Parts: sequence; structure tokens; C-alpha cells
Amino acid sequence: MRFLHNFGKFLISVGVGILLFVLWTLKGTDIYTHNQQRHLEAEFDALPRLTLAPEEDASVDDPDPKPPKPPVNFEDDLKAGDPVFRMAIPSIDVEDMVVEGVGVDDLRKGPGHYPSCRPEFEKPWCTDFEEVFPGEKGRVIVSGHRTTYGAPFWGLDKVKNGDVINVETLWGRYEYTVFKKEVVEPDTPTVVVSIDDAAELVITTCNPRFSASERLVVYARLSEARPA
Amino acid sequence: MKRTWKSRLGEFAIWAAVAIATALIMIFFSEELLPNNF
Repeated sequence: MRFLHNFGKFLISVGVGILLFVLWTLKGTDIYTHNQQRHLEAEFDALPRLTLAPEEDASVDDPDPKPPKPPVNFEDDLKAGDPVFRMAIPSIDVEDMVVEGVGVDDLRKGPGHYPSCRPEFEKPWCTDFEEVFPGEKGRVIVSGHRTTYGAPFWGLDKVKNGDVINVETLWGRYEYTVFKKEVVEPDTPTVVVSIDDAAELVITTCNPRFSASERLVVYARLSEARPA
Repeated sequence: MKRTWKSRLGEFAIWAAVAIATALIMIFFSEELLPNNF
């Protein structure tokens, strides 16, 4: 009888432990991400803005000015977890620093910019396609947590066509306009490739909340660009 | 037999330690327990 009494207390304690774990997963991880975001903001704001020399800048005296682009081979200097750009989705009250890489440790810091495969970035956390940065043709792919670790894309399902996504990089500021939203199977290859070579931003996150069985994907097209 | 408050507190501390240990073990193994990046 005494054994059952103590075993009951043991099970209650283990249950409380599981509840503490759930609480840490849902809320405690937010604290880590918010701290990381604060450091990334400070690091990004301290970096010098990149202004291209006039001969390098295709937009000068161009009747059809092109959006400012990153320096050639910009990705070579980026390490996993470095801040790449600031992204804001005003309609769902999101403003986050996007880091380089979509590995487990990278996404704990904030949304991640999908890298091309190179040293430090290995499958499945990279793509064989050329890495695309804001302002360039092709798809800038951003992935982030739907739940836990700050849950940057908790409300991504609320985004509607016509909503604006603002991006601030070291070389320019961009406005992308949402034109499509869909739910796909994980690792759907068509998400990565722009159909008509347009400059697009694609955000992917897990769907439904608290599950990794599907991906919610939001597509946006470049609608405005200006130098940093 | 009536237990003293020290004895009750001691027992509570033991069960609290079991709860915290359970939570810490689950956090340590969270990468195996939870799907990646969900």
C-alpha cells in the first residue's frame, strides 16, 4: 500500500516534469531567441552599408533602373548564423533579423535564409541551386519556426495576397508583395525555383502548428527597391 | 503518527527534484523527442 502511495506521487512528479518541459518548449525557447535577435540587430546595425561605385551600379543613367544587388560572391563571407537582412511583415506584426542557414541552431536564432550547398552548409539544410539574395532574380527562400523559438511565423496563415513584406539589406531596401499562399508536402522542389525568373521572396514554415507534416508557403514578388 | 513540517518539506523537495530532473532530461533529449524546426 505504501509502495502504491509513493509510486502515485512519483507519477505526479514526472507529470509535473513533463508539463515543465512543455512550458519550456513553448515559452522558454522564446527567451533564447529574443536574446539572439537583440545581438543580431546590434551586429547588423553596426555593419557598414554597401554602396556600389557608379561604374558598378547598373541603375545610374539607366532608363529602366534595376534593383540594387549584393556584391558579387557576397555569400562567400557569410557564416552560418550571421545576420543577412531584416524582414518585416506589418500585416502580422513580424519584424525579425534573418540569419544565414536553416540548420537547427540557425533557426533557433531566427528565420533562416536558405543557403546553397558549400562548406559549412550540407544537405538537407542547403540547396543545389544558386543562392538568391534580395534584389536578385530568382527566389530568396526564408524558413522559420511556426511554434517555439520565438515562433516568428506563428501567424503566417493570416497573410493575404497584396500584403507587403519589407526587407532591409546592407545594399538596399525592398518591398515584396504577396501573390500566392499554399500548403505543400515537405521537400517540394518547385518551391525553390522561380517560374519566370522574377525576383521573388518565398517564406516557408511548418503546417499545421505543432506539426512538421506539411509546409505553409507564402510567395511574394519584388514591387519596390531603393538603395540602402 | 503526525509528521513534522520538516519531514513534509523534505519529501516535497524530493518530488520537486524528480519533476525538475524529468524536465531537464526531456530538454536534453528534445532534439530526439521533437521534430526538427517545427
